[in-house]
Amino acid sequence: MIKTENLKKIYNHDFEAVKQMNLNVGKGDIYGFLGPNGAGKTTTIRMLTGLIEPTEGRVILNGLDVRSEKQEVKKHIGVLPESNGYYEWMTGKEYLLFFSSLYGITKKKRAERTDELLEMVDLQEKANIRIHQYSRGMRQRLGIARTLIHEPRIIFLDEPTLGLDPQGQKDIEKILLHLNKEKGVTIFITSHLLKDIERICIA
Amino acid sequence: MIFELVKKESKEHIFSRKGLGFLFVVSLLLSVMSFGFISVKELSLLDQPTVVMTAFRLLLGINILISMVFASTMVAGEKEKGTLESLLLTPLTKRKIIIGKLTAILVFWFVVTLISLPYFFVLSFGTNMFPTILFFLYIVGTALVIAFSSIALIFSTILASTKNAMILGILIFLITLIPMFLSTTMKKSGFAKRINDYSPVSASMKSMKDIFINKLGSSDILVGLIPVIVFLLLTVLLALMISKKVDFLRGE
Repeated sequence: MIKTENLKKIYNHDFEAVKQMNLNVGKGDIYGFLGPNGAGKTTTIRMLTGLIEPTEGRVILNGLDVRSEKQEVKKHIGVLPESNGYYEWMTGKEYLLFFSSLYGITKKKRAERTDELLEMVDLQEKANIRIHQYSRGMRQRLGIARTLIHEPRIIFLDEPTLGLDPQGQKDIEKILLHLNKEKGVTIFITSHLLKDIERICIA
Repeated sequence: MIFELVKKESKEHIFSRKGLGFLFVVSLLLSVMSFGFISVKELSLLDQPTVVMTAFRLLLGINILISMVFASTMVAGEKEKGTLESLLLTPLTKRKIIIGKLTAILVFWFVVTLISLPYFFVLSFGTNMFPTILFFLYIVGTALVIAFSSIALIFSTILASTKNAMILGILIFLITLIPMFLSTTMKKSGFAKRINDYSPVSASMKSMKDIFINKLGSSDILVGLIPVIVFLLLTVLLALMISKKVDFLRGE
């Protein structure tokens, strides 16, 4: 499902952020990607998702070359970046509807999918509240809902539990396990905390 | 998909408190100016073409500035808020994102032109200047707004800070305005003459003067507007080219 061949990223001609990385993540796996801060986790996710070009090597996602088939790859993946920002003036529902429209989902299906996802991340009661009133945990859950709006087969989550309280972390873990076990979504998750990754990957 | 982005940008920047505030300022300015032209003794003595030209200059200048402020925040602002990454991961290409954002700026400009129409109608009342005003508003004005907004968008794309993008964009706009602050003698010599000859703002103002005061024909006017056309093509092409080449997340 996710395969990299000698992936390398060098910034400013001298800083090697990622060195010769070879990965092979199978369909339906939950792949925990551990490393301390500054180890190159975010750079790796950005290369895997086509946001930045690797200096060397290549990435194959679902049989597609990320460099040459970037637009097609976007349809298959959902990504929650580490410092994901939100359009604070939108409500949770408007936010999901906006992104679903960018994926070209029909108007009728947009509403259905949005309601379904809001229910899944337990935000249906807060759907019409502006995002600037959301807590960090609620924002992360909304972010996960956004990554799933176009029903991707692979999702990338960059430190999704960072800064969350224990309950918030549990909520995220529950959602991820549901996605993996019930829907068969392949999950690539990064963290600098071994315990977080352990709980999700071994569950 | 671009339409959805235009809708979002319009809601965020134009039909927001900030955007409506700008629209209010524009209408207030037009009202004060029109009132001045009618009620202040010295101003009411000016001939109608001069009055219309002054109003047009002011409207265009202010709106180019406002549009540049919007454009500067459109990409760099998304970087600062951390929303750009999610947007780049949707099926929208970088080029479509730039086109969508430019279109939203045009929406603002068209709202402004709609507000200004009654004022220009009153200021040109009793003459046959109104169709020419429409030409300058919708053709020349739109071209200049798109061109300067493209410059601001380029800086917004390259830089990670809204402030830096805004400062550099506005600096370029001010350079093109230099001829307006120079005396006639200075305009005829050296560097100042070059700026005056090539400045799209000078060219548009000179063309307007040629129609209203020097009564020149349309072919002369079109030749006079060549710097505007060249400037528009260059800036838009550059913005589209940069949108394809540049890594939007650079500097994050």
